[in-house]
Amino acid sequence: MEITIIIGFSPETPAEIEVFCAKFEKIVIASGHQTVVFNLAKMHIKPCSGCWSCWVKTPGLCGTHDDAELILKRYLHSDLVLFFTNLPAGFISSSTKKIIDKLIPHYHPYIFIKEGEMDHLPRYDRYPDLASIFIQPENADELDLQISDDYMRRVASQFHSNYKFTSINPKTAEEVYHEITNS
Amino acid sequence: MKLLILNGSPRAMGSNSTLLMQHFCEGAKFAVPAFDFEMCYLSKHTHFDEYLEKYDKAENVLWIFPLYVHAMPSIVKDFMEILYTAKPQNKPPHAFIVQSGFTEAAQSRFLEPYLTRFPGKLGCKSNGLLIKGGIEGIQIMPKFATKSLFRNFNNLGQIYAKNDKLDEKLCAKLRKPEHLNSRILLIMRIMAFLKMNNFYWNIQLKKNNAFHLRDSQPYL
Repeated sequence: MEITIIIGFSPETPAEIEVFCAKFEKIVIASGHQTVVFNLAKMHIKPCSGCWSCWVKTPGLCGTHDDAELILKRYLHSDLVLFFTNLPAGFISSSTKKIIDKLIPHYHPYIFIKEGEMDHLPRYDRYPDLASIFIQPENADELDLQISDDYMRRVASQFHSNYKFTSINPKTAEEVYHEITNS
Repeated sequence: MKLLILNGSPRAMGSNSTLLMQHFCEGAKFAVPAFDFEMCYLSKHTHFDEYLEKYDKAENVLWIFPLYVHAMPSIVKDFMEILYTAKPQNKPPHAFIVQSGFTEAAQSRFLEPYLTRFPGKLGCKSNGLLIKGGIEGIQIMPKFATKSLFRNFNNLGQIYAKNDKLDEKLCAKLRKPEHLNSRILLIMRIMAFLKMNNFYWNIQLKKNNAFHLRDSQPYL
């Protein structure tokens, strides 16, 4: 299995999160899988400019050439993409939202009806499963967690992916790996 | 009243959000000539410190932005986080206008609960939320097709200037349809049968000499 982890913390990635991901990488590799970790804080990625080049000028390709291209390519070759985010101000981070916005080239501008609602047609034949890890303080607002969880599930639906799980404040990297193997 | 408009469209001055606010502010000025507003473009990240200073002096705040992947564009969330961290002393009420290309308002339902809670996180009150679908393409539509929309935004501005809040009745009217009803679905089926359902996008693809590339899969 190819697992991609996208670390998107705002305003920056705490050192312990990087350590957590390094441990996770070791577990995944030792179990015979492959993994790539993208730490958005260390990448040069501009927000989506809404230019729609990816839909009407260079279909499938983002008009802004930045490090998001590395993720766009890897995304399609993954079996599972794991969004690792904090919830600043009670919702997924701006950093994570930025990369979600930048995934739009993977879908058509064309609309079809899915379960009675409009949706964008897929550009590719297959997409990875999605999952999330949320990090929140212990006194986190339950409704914030619910809103972000509902949102990520909707993203998966629009992105023609299966949503596997949301892990909240996992204590160990092993815990996340078990979630993956059990989901 | 000093209104701070936080325009979260990445397309900034050339955006549909700006066009809608022009009609809104025209209405507000018409109803209350002393109505005072300032527009801040959140696509200008380097101006955020200046926007925070403006926020401190605002009597009301109105956010407007397009729906991006069922939520706010990342630049909007970025400024929300900065406001939340800055803990401003000023506590102006916040209103939101979310516009989207999708026809049905229900597409914004995953964002709506967050927007109703966000002002409270800053210790502020909420003074309205408008979800408006079917906005994409309004800049190229003939005048008759946008007349009603712009008149409604003008009215919304007039009432806002008088009452300091988005009018609930008008917001309820503007957000329709909540879901795709049988009439809309029938129109969509007819358009698909006539091969006109992708008309808007195909025209732009052809204009850019990219129609033949429309099914490209460049990342395989």
